[in-house]
Amino acid sequence: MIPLLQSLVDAVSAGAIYALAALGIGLVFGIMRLANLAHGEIITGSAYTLIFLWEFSWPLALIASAVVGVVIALAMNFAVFHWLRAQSPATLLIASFGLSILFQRLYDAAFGTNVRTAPVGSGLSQSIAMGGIRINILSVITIVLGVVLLIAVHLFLTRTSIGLQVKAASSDFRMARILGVRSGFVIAITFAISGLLAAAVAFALTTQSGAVGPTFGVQATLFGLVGAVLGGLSKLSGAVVGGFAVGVVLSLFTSWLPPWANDFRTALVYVFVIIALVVAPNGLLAGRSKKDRT
Amino acid sequence: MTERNPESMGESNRVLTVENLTVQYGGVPAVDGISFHVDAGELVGVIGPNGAGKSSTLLALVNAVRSSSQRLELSGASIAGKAPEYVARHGLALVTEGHHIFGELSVVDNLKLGRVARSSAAGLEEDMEWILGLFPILREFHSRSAGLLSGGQQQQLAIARALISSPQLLVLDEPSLGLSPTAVDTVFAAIEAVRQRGVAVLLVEQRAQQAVAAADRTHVLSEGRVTMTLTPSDASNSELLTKAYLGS
Ligand SMILES: Nc1ncnc2c1ncn2[C@@H]1O[C@H](COP(=O)(O)OP(=O)(O)O)[C@@H](O)[C@H]1O
Ligand SMILES: [Mg+2]
Repeated sequence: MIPLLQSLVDAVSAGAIYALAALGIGLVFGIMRLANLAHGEIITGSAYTLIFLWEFSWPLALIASAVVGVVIALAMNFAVFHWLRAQSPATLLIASFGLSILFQRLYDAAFGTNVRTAPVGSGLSQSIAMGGIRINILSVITIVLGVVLLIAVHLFLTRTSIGLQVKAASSDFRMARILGVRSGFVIAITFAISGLLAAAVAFALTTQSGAVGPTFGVQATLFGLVGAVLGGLSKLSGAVVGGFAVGVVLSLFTSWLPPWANDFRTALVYVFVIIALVVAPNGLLAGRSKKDRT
Repeated sequence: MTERNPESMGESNRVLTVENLTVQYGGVPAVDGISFHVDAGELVGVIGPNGAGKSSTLLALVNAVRSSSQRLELSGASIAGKAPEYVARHGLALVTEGHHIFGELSVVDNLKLGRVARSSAAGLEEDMEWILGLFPILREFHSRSAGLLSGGQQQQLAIARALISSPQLLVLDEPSLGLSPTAVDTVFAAIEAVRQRGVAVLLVEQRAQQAVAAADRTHVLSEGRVTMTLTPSDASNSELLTKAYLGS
């Protein structure tokens, strides 16, 4: 049996990863009503960048993976979503699904079906002993990264003029434009931030596995999206908490379920989600009074 | 009722020119080829029954609804087909019907959003002092969530937010709708103060008598057309105002 505190730290670290994924998805959903299924392929692009550049120069790999995340996110916006801005959320969702598949095929064609590997962050995957328990440094770093980015995004949204414009456009797009908020600009900024967050998720995940294949980002996106829906996509804090909760539950299942049940852990998470959404269809943390505009 | 010759003033100080504006929803005209103008320092009123096309007209000015026109100009420059944010940044501030403040943001943050369309930071401090002087309640509640304000306070916030952009033309859509009598007085006093300061105002109002009395001229809109234009002296003519509403 893994000691309680150690598995808790691992669970919080998994929660941090999915919270970042949910935040990236939630930001874009807020401003575009787009549940971007292709968010995972931004993560994958950043992850490949880390794998290919890590042994050459790790600082370069980190910077390049962030740049690649932002560039892919912006490219998706300008090439596809920009033209569909007036369409329904369903249309946008389907477009993002197509984009996701397209990127997976492109990665497959460029880098092959098999995973590419590199010891990303291998220096970090040690544990330190603390009073009889062992704590994984990587988990701690992931938690710190998550907290720092959550605070940074929060400060951006609440303390800067551009952040305020993003918030305004997310809550009432037409009124924001009537006040002079440039629609194309706030959308591009939001995609860029979601790209940065995807790169952070890519880093956290590659340090764990050291291996990246064409569908690398799918699971994080799916669980991030599930968490975001669970917490309430219409409210960013809800999305973050939802993503965090999904990560924690998944991780605890992994540590505590008997090995034979581990195959069902994903299914168990979905059972959880179904129950939660039956109880609170708009998300567990969504405000009760506010009707979403269409 | 008198008619003014629109050509008599020349167009050098014309803030808004609307010629033959049409708005259609699914092929049905809501605004049917109307023309009017607003000169610098003027307060122009628009009244008319529900569904007459008043809001559609205002939304068309900022291109928030699709429209067609022969001319749509703000201070001599065409705004036809320009994005809402472009029109806002060129000096037209629209306070929409139902005022649409950002309820989850604080009063201060709502006001900060008014700065987005402002062309320069010069004079911001003085403008802010003047605006908060018009609406002292906003100073008192500056850090409160805007959604917690009363309807009248939210309307004041929306007008204040529009004024912070330092517009050439302030456009108001039924600012007194659903307000208490005291709040209505505050809003009308503010409109008068705005005009005194030299900002042109285009005012859509339900309170016909009050609007006609305050405005340089008031167009009566019915089924998408201007059917009459009234002057302040018509404000006491309740028969005429009733007729205006019934659509003569
Ligand atoms: N978004 C819309 N879609 C379809 N019809 C609309 C829309 N907005 C307004 N209308 C219709 O256009 C007409 C004019 O509406 P509006 O401009 O809101 O009038 P007013 O502000 O004078 O009450 C009404 O018949 C209304 O039902
Ligand atoms: Mg109206």
